[in-house]
Amino acid sequence: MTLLSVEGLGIAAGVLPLVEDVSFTISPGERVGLIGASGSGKSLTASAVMGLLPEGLTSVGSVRFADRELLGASERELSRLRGKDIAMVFQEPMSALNPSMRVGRQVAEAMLLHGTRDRRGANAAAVELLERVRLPEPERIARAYPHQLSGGQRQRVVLAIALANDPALLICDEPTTALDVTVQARVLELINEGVRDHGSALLFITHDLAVVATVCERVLVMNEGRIVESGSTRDVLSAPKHEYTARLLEASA
Amino acid sequence: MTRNLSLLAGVVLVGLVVGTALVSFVWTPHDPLLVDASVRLLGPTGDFVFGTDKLGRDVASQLMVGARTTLYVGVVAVGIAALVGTPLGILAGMGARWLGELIMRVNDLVLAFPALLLAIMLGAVYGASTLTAMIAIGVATVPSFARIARAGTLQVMSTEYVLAARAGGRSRWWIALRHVLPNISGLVLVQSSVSFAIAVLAEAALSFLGFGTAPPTPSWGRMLQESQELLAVDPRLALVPGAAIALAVLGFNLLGDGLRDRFDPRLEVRR
Amino acid sequence: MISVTDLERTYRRPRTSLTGPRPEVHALRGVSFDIEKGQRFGIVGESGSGKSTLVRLLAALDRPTSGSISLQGRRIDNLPERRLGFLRSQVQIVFQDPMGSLDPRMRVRDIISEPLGRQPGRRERVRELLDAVGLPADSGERYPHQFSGGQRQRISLARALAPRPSILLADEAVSALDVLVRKQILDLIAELVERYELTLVFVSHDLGVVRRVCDTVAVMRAGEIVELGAVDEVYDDPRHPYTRELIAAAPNLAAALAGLEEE
Repeated sequence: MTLLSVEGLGIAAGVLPLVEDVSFTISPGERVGLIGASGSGKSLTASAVMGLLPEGLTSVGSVRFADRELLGASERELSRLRGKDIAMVFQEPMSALNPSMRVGRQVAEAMLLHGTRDRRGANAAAVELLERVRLPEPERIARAYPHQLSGGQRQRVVLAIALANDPALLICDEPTTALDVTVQARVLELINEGVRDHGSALLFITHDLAVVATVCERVLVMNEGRIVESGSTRDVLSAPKHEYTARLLEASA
Repeated sequence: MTRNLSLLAGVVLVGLVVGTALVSFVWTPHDPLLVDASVRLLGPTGDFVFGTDKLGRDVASQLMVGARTTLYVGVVAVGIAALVGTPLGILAGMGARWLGELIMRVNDLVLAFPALLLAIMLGAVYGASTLTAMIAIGVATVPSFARIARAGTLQVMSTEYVLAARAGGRSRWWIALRHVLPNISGLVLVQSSVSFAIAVLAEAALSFLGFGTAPPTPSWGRMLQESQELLAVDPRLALVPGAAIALAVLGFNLLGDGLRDRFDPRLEVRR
Repeated sequence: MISVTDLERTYRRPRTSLTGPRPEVHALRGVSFDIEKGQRFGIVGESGSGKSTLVRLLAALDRPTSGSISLQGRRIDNLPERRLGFLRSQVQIVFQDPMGSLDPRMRVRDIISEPLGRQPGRRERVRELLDAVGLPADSGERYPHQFSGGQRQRISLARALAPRPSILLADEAVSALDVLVRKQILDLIAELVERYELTLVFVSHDLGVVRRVCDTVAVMRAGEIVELGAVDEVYDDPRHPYTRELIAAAPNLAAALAGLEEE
């Protein structure tokens, strides 16, 4: 049983190939890491899964999510999935939040939008979600605006929004790169906990091998638009087969 | 691709105005000032493409020479505004805090003063002419340049390359000339184009009201004014210069938009 | 070489109310340390710890509220800009942002020779520096956006080395880079420090990175140094609870893999 199945995915800017022949699957509840340097195509791969490729890029191949083809699906169909069945956490929490809306409302909106809760239920659930990501005084935080929170707090809010509808798949794109070390540790813990409690599968994108080893059970290593190695985190990172993975490991030691 | 289209359309329209003005120096179909009662208020003919006015002057020829006035006013007014406003803005962005505040408050004062009133006052003292119109429009446009230059300067001054230049012992002059000016030149260029459009419109308005170009020098605004009394009889006399003004303003605005997309420093970083 | 005593820096925030005092931010509260010639001094702290403020003060790009900074026995914290000439060639900085630290409208050769002024032999020097940081000789004619992040940090390093400084300040110089490129730039910094006998002040939020290039480390939190010592000692036997927290929080590949083995 697979939740997400990517087959022969290729992304190109005009004639310039950016991602070539990428194939992988994710089972329900599985935590998969996608690692590589910037420009390796890992973020583009995630964008393709979400149907959020930047304008001007073309894609070929197939991205199937719960037996539905996402590549070439209509914007309406995709927006019904996004934020409900597939949720995403980005690197920069400030730009993922609406600066002029109280954060509690933003969490509630995520549920109202997909009709998973009524208004009163959504407001209560929002506070509960904020508490679940261990924000202190969740009622007070719910009434705050994003700029009144620290970077780590904002990322927790983003995570609360992402988890609001119990997504089947959570995609995290370098979610802790912009955070302080001590904050990063806590956010990683929360992501781990969140996907476990909600039974979500995880696609975690990072360039940091130590982070991926902390969070994921399986990894895909990308270089120059191709997956060069994949396998269980332990096997790949303790006995890398590909020269590129070995170089990454050496640099991270 | 729509961006390039607007830039292209702007370049074509502005080129048309500039080209017409240049050609008018060496050739016009008729003497634009020649009064000939025998050909008064003719409609468009083979000889007079846009017809003649109430004094029998050739409208097409006047339009061509009027393009000169329009560009002349635009260049001088925008020149004054850019040459005064840009250094002021840079000074406000780089100088001491009190100096910056002072410059910007004076700037607000000028901005609050109606340009029309300034033109009327200048006209009253020195006699209405193209020159007073240009100065009035130029002075009134200084604040928009100062503002945009200051905003750009503050942004450049907060970058790490300016810190690095300071750490390398570079003077404020050097930083202003080598870092600030080149990096805000795109902004200033865009502002020039937009201000040019405003200046063209302002000159037409001032001439229409009689505070700009004095007769008999042809000007699009004056052509409009002279057509006023005959509007019901022969709307052609208003339509021709009106269309010329509209197309020129559109051209400079499109050019400004196109340039903005090309020169916006925020877009540049991502390239 | 560098001596810092009781350094304080307080910023005033813009007024939040008409009455009452303007709120103050204490970026540095009483920082003291000495750096010897040839030392590789690391400063570790999270955002808001005051480490970047400290770098700016050391480069005399900002002035302390109180306390003193001496460079080779000369007070620099109270000198006017025109008397800082000696410092401007001796102390150079490399910043974090590989794009924002290079003027997009200048050619690389002009960027690198910027701290040199009108010295004769600038062309030769630029060629020499490009070679020293491992960039092709024709890089000088190109513009920053034509280079990758790692190459841009090499350009920054070349600019910093141009006036033959004795002290190099690196402010999160590798934080924006990928693992592989980060390693290359760290190796390059270590090599340059050795070759040109530089004193290095290396600021980072990442203790692991500091450990690779520095011999001494100061751990900062909320404007204060909470722990200072030889980098291996601090890393292997942290005394302050905050240092312990920092070390524990940093994702550790070996530990994470060991954890996976057990499962």
